[in-house]
Amino acid sequence: MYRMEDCHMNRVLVVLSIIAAALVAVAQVQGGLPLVAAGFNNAFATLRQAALLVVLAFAVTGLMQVLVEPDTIRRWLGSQAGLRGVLLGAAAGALTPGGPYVYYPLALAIRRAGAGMGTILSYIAGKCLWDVMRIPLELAFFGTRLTAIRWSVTVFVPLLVGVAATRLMKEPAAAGSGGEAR
Amino acid sequence: MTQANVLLAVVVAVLLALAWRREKGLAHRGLRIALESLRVQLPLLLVAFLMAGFVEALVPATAIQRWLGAGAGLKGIVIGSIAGGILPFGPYVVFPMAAAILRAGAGDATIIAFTTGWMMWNSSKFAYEAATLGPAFTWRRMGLFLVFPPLAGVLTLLLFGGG
Repeated sequence: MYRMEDCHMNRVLVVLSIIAAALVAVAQVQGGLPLVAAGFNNAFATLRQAALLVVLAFAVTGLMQVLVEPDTIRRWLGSQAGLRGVLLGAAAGALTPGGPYVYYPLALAIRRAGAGMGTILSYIAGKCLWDVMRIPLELAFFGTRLTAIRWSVTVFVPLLVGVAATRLMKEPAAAGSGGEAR
Repeated sequence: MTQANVLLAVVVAVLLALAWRREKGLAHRGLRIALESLRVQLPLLLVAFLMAGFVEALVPATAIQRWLGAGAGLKGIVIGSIAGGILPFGPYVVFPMAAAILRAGAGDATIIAFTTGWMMWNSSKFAYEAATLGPAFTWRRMGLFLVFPPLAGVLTLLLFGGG
């Protein structure tokens, strides 16, 4: 799992480096040295502003990873279905640390443990939209006002998605004991 | 930025206390994980900040305002949602870029659609999702999620007026 992530990271890094180098070249052609300097200045300003925040955010993620055991979430949600499952799923998504390589295997484990489709979908949507570990980053880059707007226009989505999935999505045949299909 | 730093420092302190209370060595293990992921991600962060800096310097503010600005309305929302959904990067890459576009004059609704599109349609998650829960699940999940990034933009437009 870790290797897969590392490999993905390296590819992303190569692609981003190429794009960054191309942007520097374009700046040189379009505006010469002053525009290149402006680009580096912007980058340096962001880095200086965000450095402490980034270090703290990583500390939070690391600590959450040891505090919220995947196994606890799996046991917590495994037998949940219906509206209760939707609520708990979204909350668990909000608290799950790490990237897709953490929460998709977890979603599968929850599914296998017998959780309903509404629970799975609200869990994924909760991770997408309610991720508590991302709040400091949102505040830092977008400010209080825009972060508040973002939350207020999307806060209902994980619950809505969970309820819709409970009603609309048939339980896949392969998914074991199946939850709340009705 | 300062606000967020203080908030985050408090969270770190609380989590440290919790970890320390629960089990000896747990806090240490958490910080080790943090340091290791920071070490792995650091090159990515630096390149991302560099990219954002040059996007800000290069893309003329008038172009951003025309396509993504307050007057762009629905067009900005649709472009924002799709752009956010396509970008296969993490928050440390996407947020500085979005902030740069915001500073260059993009509207609130566009930025909200962009971040929500990135959160809900994120193309980089497809592989993990299809591999674990199956492609059929991914299709149905996308069907269910499809409407929300543009909806978030439209709601922003209607409720807060920021195009």
